[in-house]
Amino acid sequence: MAKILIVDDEPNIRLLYKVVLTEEGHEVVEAENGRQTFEALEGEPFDLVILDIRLKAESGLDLLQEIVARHPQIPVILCSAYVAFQDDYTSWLAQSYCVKSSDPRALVEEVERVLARRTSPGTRDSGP
Amino acid sequence: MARVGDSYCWLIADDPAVCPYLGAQEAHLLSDVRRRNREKCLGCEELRRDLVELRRTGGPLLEALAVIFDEALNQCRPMLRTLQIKEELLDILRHLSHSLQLALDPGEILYKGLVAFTAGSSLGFNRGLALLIEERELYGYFALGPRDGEEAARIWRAVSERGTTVADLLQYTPEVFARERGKFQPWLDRFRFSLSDSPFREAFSLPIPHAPEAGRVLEITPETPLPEALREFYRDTTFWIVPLLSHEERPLGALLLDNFLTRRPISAEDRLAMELFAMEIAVALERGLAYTELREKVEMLEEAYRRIQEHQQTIIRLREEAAVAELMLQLTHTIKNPVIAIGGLARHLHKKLDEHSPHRRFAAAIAQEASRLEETVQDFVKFAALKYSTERHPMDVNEILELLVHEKMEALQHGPPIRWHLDLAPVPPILADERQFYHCMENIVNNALEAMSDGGDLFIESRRSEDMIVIIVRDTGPGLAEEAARNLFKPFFTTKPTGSGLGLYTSKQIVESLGGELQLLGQLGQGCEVIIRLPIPEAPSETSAEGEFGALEESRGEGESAHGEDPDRG
Repeated sequence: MAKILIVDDEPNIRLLYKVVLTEEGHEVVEAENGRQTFEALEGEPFDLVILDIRLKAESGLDLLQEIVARHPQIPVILCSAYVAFQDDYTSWLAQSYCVKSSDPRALVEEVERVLARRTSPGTRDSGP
Repeated sequence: MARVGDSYCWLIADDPAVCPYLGAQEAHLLSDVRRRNREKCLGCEELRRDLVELRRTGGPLLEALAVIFDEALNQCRPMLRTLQIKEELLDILRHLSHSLQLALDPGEILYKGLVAFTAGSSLGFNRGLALLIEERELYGYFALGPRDGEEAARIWRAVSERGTTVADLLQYTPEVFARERGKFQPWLDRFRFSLSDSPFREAFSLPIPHAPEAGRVLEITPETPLPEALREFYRDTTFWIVPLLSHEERPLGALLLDNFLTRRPISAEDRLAMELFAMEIAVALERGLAYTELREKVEMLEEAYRRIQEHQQTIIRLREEAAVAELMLQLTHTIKNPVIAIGGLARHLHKKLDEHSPHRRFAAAIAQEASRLEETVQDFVKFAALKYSTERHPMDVNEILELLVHEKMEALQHGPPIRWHLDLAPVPPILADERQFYHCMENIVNNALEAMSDGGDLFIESRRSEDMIVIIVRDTGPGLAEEAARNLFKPFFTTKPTGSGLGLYTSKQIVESLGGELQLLGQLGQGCEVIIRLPIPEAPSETSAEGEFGALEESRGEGESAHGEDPDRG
């Protein structure tokens, strides 16, 4: 059981992720923008952040940089509707990434993978 | 006057009374009787009357008369002949000059030039040969005249029978030109001489400063050392080289003239006439060559301009397409999030609902439809990214086909029984984006495989055909209805229950972006055949992929994970 913060400006996507991940036994907190993200991160400890790359008013990649700077110990899974973000070097700061799909299995697997790696000590990657 | 005593007026010297027809300036003719006879008496009515009288009477002065006439005739004959020739020469020159005024084609100019040299009896050379200069070399351009005596006799007979005039002969048509040139083509092909080689070196350095009277015409006797081809052509015939020079004395070409049948030598006057003709021809030739060069340059410029315009059109079109594609990407992105939410939540609902709930079926249907939408959106994103790929590297078509077949065979291990027939001939590399090309072929092969859901034969061929690479993918599926064949390349057209309908459209677009063409043959019940023709690049070179569509480039990169720790993902 892990505590996961979902950052996405689409309430229904948050809803989807929440039901899926809650079912997997995780505790899920939602944020729809940067402000809410840091309020949550500063308020309580999280095991994982799932971050949408495209937020309404701000760039998910900027937010990613800030999360990594302020909470380097928390892994981030970057989410997007398509794969274009891989070309942006900033995205490499994320622990992993996932292409959004109505089939949530990929996301669930990715979450388990990142969490499993995190529990074994000294595996926080330095990235490429 | 006429009879004066027992003599005649035209026999008496130094008596002004005997002839009233002498002018003030002609007093000298009083004493010079012979000259007076020649210049005045021959046309005088008095003399004519006296002659009639003398013939009738058979008078004693007949002998004297005979002397006078003989002398007059002897002096007149050559003068008359010279006059005739000169008149003809002038006539030809006038016609030539007139006829060259509007001539711009070097072929026409040289044809007319050689006609002037060979027509009539003034110069009347038996044969003429025209050489032109190209990069310090003279090459055989045109020749005019009979090849042998028999042909000459035929030509001369025809000319005299028909009363052909110089003006007639100067009539130029490309057909006549081609016919005449064809007669000598094997020789013309052999003629290629350096300007710095004998005898042309000498011909173009005429006139020699210390003997200017020799003029510009160089006589070549059978003893003169010659390039082999020329010696074989002229054998034991003497010929003359007349250089053609521009107004600033730049060599343009040369005319070679001979009398291989009549063996007639040329006179000093002929030489002058030849130079005069040559000058006339050279002026026209210089103008014609300049015009030809100018026309070629203009054509080149026009072609360049046309291509620039075409290019601009292409750029505009691609920009527009790219803008539309970018818009579509934005749109798909906007669509995708809701679709994911709908599909995902429906899926969840389906899972949560009791197995016997009547609503479970609805949830499944919603999830299924959402999946289809998602797939279409995904395909479109892929399509846009691949279509606008500007990457170009030399790649082997066969390698891609082999890889594709390998992957498909593996994937279809448990699928319908497909017999694969691969016939790949070695082909030169093309410039393309490997991933894009793979995708292009994959769509086509997938299409064929899907058409043979109960199994069948799949033929994949590649071969070179002239400057094209031809790839053929043929299946033994049910073929296509006419309407389907017509619509198959339209985006979002599909005959299948699933699929976005972008597959073949994308393939066609990719092939066309590589400068090739994609053709689909197929009739209902006869399988389908896709024929791709791709141009072979002239010289395989590195082309830089210019990021003209920067906005779209960010959507590329599928499959090549930039994520260091997870290279398999993508």
